[in-house]
Amino acid sequence: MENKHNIENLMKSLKSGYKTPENYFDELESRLANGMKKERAKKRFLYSLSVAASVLLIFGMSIFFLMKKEDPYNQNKTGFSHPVSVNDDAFFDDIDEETIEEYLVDNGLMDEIYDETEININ
Amino acid sequence: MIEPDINAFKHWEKNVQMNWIVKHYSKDLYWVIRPIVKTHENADDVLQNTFIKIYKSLGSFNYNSKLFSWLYRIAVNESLNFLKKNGKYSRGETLNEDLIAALKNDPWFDGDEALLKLEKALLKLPPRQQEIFRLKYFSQKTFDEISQILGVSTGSLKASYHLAVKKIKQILNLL
Repeated sequence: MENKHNIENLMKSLKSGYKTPENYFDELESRLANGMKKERAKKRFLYSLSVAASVLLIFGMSIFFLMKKEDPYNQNKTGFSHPVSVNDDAFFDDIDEETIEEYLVDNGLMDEIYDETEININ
Repeated sequence: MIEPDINAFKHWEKNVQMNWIVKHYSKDLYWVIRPIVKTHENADDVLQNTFIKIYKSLGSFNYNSKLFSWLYRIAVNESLNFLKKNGKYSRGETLNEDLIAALKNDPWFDGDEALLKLEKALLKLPPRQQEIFRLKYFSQKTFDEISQILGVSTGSLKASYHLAVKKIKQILNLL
């Protein structure tokens, strides 16, 4: 029976068999436009999120390095880099006397300490 | 087939370009997708994905081809990806059976057994011949327009089409 039909007519009937909900194409434009708006909003949100995360990371790293730089204990550990630490005995707990004395002599600090002691005694 | 003035189009803002595409091509693209994925629900999903894909890749359109040809390729790829990814459908011959079953159960398909037989026959054609049929009858494009969309000569299209008609007639006799 199919041969009696012209393929063209059959194809036209086939397309007319495919239905869409009423007003589908009328509403489609605004639905797709809304979908695009959501996509743009999502893109903006992800962009803001990545910017915020980068700023936070840079801020966190700055704080970390700043704290590391200003930590007197850390400086002391790296080798008496600043005289400030020399005045605090607590930093010498785990260093033997000989090393401290050697450091003081090498840096000409031994006499200074004696002078201060003398002043304190007087 | 409506095509924008490409020289003006490429200088528009992306949002304006998208609005133009939605306004002029959403219906056309629906009828590219629907005969591939069969059901209205699937077509609606794929159409949304297609527009998101277009939105994301609009910057990479090189303006060497016709705008609709580029959009058509995205819609076809999205439809085929949907069928591959969607667990509801298998591949090969069983994919065709699954699609026919889905179409039969689609509340938005109103076809009798004869039309379902025609659908089955169409699915047996090589992919390029199926494309020509879809563009001719679902998208209602002329051979000249199909030739621009697919980038093949009109003569070769007509030859493929007549070969496909012959095959369909043979298949329908066998069903």
